[in-house]
Amino acid sequence: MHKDKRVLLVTHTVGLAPAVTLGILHARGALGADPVGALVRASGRWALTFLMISLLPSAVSVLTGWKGMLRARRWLGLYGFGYALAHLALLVGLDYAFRMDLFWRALREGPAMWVGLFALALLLPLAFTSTDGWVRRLGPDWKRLHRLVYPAVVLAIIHYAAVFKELRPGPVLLVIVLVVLETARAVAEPRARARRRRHRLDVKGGRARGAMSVGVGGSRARSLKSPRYQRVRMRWAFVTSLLLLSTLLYFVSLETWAYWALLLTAVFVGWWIKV
Amino acid sequence: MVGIGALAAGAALAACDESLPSEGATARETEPNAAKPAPTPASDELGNQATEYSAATTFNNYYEFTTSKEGVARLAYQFEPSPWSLQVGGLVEKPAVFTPDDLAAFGQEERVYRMRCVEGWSMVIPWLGFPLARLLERVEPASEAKFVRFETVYRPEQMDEQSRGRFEWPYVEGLRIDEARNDLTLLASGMYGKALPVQNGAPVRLVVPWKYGFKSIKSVVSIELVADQPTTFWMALAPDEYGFYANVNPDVPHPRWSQASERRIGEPGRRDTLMFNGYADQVATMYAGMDLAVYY
Repeated sequence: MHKDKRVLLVTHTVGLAPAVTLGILHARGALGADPVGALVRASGRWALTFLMISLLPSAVSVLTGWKGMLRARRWLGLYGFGYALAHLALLVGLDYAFRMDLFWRALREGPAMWVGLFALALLLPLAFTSTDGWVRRLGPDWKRLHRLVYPAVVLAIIHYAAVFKELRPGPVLLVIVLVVLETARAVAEPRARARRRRHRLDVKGGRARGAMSVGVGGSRARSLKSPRYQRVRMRWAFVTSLLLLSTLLYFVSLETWAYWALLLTAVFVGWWIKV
Repeated sequence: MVGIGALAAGAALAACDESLPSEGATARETEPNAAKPAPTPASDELGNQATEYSAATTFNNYYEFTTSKEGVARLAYQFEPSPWSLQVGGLVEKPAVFTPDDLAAFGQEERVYRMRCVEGWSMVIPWLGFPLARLLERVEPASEAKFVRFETVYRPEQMDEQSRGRFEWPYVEGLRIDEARNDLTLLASGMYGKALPVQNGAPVRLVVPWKYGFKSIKSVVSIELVADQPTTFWMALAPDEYGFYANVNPDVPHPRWSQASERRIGEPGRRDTLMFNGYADQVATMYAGMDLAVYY
């Protein structure tokens, strides 16, 4: 489906842009007095950014019935995992320069560090089972397994908060966004489930259920709901997405002007695809 | 931006380069006490090269401006370091107010010190200053004076973060009086042979090289001799994470991270952090019999 291809194109552009931007900035010596620290910090922020964004598609689908973004979800999660892995690799390889004695000691004496490592460990099975084959093999268990992303994100935010001398606004904002997003989803979920049931009765012997039922005709699903409820849900989706994106905009500072230009393009394209 | 950075780095290198004697000489002649032939480029007693000037002036913890280390230098232009007066009082026989000129009269010597930040990075800085002991001698502390309390200037209109409500200003630091009198403890008004840049604490700051960087309070307006241990900025913020002593100690981790190693800015890889930041010979006796895990 060419719509899906466009979503994926946008996802990969958005996903690779930070790495490319950081690479260019590093090559030009534009990362400041502490380039190693800057790379480690930036990769960590991007990991958290993509993990947060990966929570958006399912929330949006619950809130609006639009499932277009679900196609991007696994890739967003994988980019989150990829940047987290890069974060660890940069820390061990560049910062600690493979002085493993110092690294183990830092891990042993630093809760801030092992909380982050634990978050990464939780993501490992998710990354491993992110292929179509594993989705099929695990069936309904896939969805259950992949709920691990929530504890992983929470641990990652704790890790992010813990590496600073004092409490920073960044992690606090991320917690607020997470709570708003998940509350909106929890409120909308029962109605979304009812909607799906109705829809399934409507489309006799319809498509397969479960996490991977993407690209279901959005217009058909939408036509089943009252316009008033539709407006409310759209507003919720709009507010939560905007909140998430603007927070991330605040939180991922520095290197990112090129990146945000790309992201805004992606959002506009995404909007356009939906219609 | 990159161009400007490169120019600054180039200028700093040129200023330290022996092959440019005229420039190096003028830099030194403008300082009082120019007699001491400082080695160029500077290195500390362990042979560590001084951090590049451009790094030392663009990577700063100075929360009065912003919590972003790269952001301080960008906001520094808002700050006016002169005129300045430093009040010295409390439990002293002869309280006094010092101008930067008065302080210069105490003499200026170059001291190349390691600076270890509690966050786990470090630099090597050639300071220009004089031992705080000399100033204390002048004001004659009373016998009840057991501690020294330092305070940074409060100017919310010139320092961005001070105009917000996140922290309790002004910044306060403290030393035990014997620590303050230790010969290593410096009152600095310059670095790299020049006047102190705003982001490094102009016009006058404390340098206590065996303690974590936050003890080396910047832009000092008040030094007060007191009987009781003062509550410092970081103690007030998180008493179980930041203690009064804050001696560099690889064996006492911060509650959330290890202090066993550090990243030296401008150097690849890591260094083992040294006990008392490598100044144990000069300072360890002051803490004899103290449990440094308790008095962190």
